[in-house]
Amino acid sequence: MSNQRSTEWSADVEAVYKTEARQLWAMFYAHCTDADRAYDAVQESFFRLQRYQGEPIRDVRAWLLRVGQNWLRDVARSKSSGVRSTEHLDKMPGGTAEPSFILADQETQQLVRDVLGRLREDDRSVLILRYGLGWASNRIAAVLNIKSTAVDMRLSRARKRMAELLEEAGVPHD
Amino acid sequence: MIDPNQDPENDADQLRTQWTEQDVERLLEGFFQEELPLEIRELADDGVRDPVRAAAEVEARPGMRWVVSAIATAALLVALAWFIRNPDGQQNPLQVETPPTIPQRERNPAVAQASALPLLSLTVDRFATEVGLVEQRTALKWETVSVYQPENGVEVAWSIPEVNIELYGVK
Repeated sequence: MSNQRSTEWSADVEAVYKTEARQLWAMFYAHCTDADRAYDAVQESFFRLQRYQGEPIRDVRAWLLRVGQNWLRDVARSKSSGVRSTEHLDKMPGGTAEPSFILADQETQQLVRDVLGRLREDDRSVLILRYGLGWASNRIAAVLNIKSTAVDMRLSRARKRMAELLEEAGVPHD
Repeated sequence: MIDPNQDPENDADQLRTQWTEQDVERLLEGFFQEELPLEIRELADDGVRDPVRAAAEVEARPGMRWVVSAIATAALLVALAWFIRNPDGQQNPLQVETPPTIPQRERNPAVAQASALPLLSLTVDRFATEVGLVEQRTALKWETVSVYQPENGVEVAWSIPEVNIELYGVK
């Protein structure tokens, strides 16, 4: 690939990254319920797209999704336990919050993560697209190729199921 | 009836663990604010224009229709010009398909032609029916249609998926 082609290609990949990365992260998160690993999957899929020199890709989003999901599957096979983010530790020294509050917050995050992990993947997907990315039902419907009413039904079902699981886990709320 | 042994504090605890859909909504909004990696949070959510929302917006503003049409036409012309002048003829993998050069053709009025690309899949099923054995062939393929416009010397080509289902009687 000539330098000019390579530069154009990089610009194309960057443009795709800006428009697709958020949604891809959400889909990968729905798959693994691990924010950092989902972000690694986004990076990996775009890294492979950057190096790709094969036949024209008809649907770039589907291609990236497939690459990332395969990578997540490989990682899940090779690692039985992942390394969790230490971002919360960065907040501790200079932060205004008390360490005990930060740890309580981390605990709640982990509880919610566990509960999300017990939902069906399609239920998780709609919850992440709605509450993670703030998408409206018609936008979710277009991406998941289902009707808007089906998105609302799925959202309601997921919220009810999540409420049950939170109760089962004894998670208190204000 | 009021149970004198009932502990009001336990009742309060029980109430606090009752989750409603609204509670879950609030919890998830806060949860994902923390959960989204910084790099993802910083990306503007302006790129993905889903067709439903775009169509709804155009419907809501009828005056915008001609602007959208004009922009789409201009973009198409620019894209065609780019493909015609592309010097090295390499295809960008992100582009679906377009012939890099315009084939020489007679200067006839606009000509539409269709040429089939290779089959994507062919499934053959056989059914026993009252009239005998019937074979169903389901073929999925990409159909390429191109239209030559002699006025401006350009050829517009596009591909569409096509499903052919054929039934034959098997002797």
